[in-house]
Amino acid sequence: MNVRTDVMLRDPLGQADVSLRPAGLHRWIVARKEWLISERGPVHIFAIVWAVAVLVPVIISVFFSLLRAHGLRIQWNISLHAYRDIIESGRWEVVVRTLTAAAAITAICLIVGFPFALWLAKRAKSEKLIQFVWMALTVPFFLDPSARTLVWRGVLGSTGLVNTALMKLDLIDAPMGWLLFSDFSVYLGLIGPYFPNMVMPIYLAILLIDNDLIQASADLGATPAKTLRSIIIPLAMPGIMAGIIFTFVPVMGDSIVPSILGGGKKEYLADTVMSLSTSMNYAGAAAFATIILLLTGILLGLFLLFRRRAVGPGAVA
Amino acid sequence: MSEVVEIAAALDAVDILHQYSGVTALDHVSLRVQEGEFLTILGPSGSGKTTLLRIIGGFETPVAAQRLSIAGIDVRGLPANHREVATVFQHYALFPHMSVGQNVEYGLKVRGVMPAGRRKRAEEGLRLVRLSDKYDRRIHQLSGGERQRVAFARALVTEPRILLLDEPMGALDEKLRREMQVEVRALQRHLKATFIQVTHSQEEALTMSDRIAVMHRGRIEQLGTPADIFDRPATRFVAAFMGMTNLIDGTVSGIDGKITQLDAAGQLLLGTWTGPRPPALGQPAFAAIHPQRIAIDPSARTGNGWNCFGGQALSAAYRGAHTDIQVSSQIGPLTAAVAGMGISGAVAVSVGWRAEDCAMGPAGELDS
Repeated sequence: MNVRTDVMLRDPLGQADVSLRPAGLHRWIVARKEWLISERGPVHIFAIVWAVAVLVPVIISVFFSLLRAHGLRIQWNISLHAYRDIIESGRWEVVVRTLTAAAAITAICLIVGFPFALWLAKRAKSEKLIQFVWMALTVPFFLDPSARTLVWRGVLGSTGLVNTALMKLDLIDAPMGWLLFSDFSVYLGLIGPYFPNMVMPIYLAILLIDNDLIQASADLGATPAKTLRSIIIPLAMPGIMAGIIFTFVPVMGDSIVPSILGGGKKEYLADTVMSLSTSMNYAGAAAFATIILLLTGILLGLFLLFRRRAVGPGAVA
Repeated sequence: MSEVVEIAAALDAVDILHQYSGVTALDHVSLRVQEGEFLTILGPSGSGKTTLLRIIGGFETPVAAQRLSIAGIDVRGLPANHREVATVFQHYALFPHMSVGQNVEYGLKVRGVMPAGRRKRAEEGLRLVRLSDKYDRRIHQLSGGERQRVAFARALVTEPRILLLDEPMGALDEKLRREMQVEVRALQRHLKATFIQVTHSQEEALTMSDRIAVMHRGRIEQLGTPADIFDRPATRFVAAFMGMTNLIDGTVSGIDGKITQLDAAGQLLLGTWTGPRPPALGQPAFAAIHPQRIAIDPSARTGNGWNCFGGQALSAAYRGAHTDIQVSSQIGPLTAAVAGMGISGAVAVSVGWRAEDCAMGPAGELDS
């Protein structure tokens, strides 16, 4: 075979002729392509997008909280005035109240949600029933949050469903006022929409536990309670922690339920941030946001700590 | 006459009936296993063997059971955690969030054994399966064979009355499987423990067991020693399942002491009756011969007690240790396993086998 046909066979389009395009640019494109399809390429892209979309606003927000503002005039010097203001104006109570409410609602969701998830993952036999449960848990989200929440007024109000029914049955003489525009109604309104957030990750985590492990535990002599404690809960811990975070964080930031069902008597974090920013107290709003961020960060830290302790380093679960 | 003192069997199951949504999984099964015995429940998938094991373990509640006792204790209605049995699961079911040591100690921990005693017994258990140095390892750091050993140690430290093995070799490769068969059998002999194993591998059943129960369609077709099952199948199914690929159907045409004569479409065959009940003249029956018991050109050995037929060798399939030769004979197609390379090409041969190597039993299904 002669040499020229050999080259043509290997490279019929003459791409090997590097002189057709600038060598430097070509090499750069090839390098980028390789980087893009490499294992680390997508991670880098994600990191850049995340930094621009999430990290930058957060940093700006923290920076803003350290400024002092009078109306539209921002004083460009660093101070902790906004934080001092939160303490002096008594607004720190809002933080405590919101935290308490979020913790209580998360606890209620966990206490009810874990057995529910366990039942759904390991006990519910009928496929139709499981589908129905998921429909019941997700369909409310197709409704606008305010519209969904507003319905509670008709149910809990002094002329609402519950009071009217109880009075008609002669069980009470006067309508119960504490049903609406109270802590009770706020808690009730918050549990419903965030309950699936708790159930979903726990359900998935329990579903992934091999039934053989549960049977092996019983086979070795463990009571159902012991199996729950030593096998199911530790193996479901990532799901439990995810459920806690997915419930606690959005409950803390919810502004719709407290404003519709709280009756404006008690302020929650989200309301306060909103009112501070509408009154152009950007530094105050940013300080509040920073506090929320800090608390969330602490929660996440605890989550990782517990997870490591429960599952162990390097465990596959 | 003094009464026979009955020692409680390790397992005494009488008339177990089980159904899954109308389908009968166990059809009035009875099984008695003695202390220190290694019993294998052998059968194809869907034969009910796993269901039986799960019922013994307490993972399944039978529809009806006349008796189900473990070491003399009635376990009907007793949940798995109250039964003195332990299971080695097919995929081991080791707890992934615990170390090897914690896994082995688990059964002791739930029984309230103190940490020091627990540790001592766990280390003993691990020594028994030759994994003494793996106490602190995590499960995912172990190989398949090591995981199986941990599963054995975990089950054995609780000192169960019966150890249940659910296809324990299923997830191992060929070489390791053969090693573990010998090792598990040695362990059982050493501990004098009662093992009940479920498998679909006849080789595993033959090499490991004291007795084998062959299951088919929810019933125990035959219960006997490995030699009984291999050489004296009671039914056509057992014969076929144990590798007697040469099956000939006919009717009983003569009974002479130990020798039974079968008429297969005019050809007469001598064999040994291995069916559950004595044969009757004119009864439809089968004859079964292991391929390795058929001799090609048995010229020197013809005579009394020998079956001999003319035929044509069709093809040879090399199997390593032996060669399978397909023969078209006067009595139908036969397979003969011969040592070495055997013969090649279509040649006229004669085939023969001894009457005692020819098992005979009743045709059709096992009747109750």
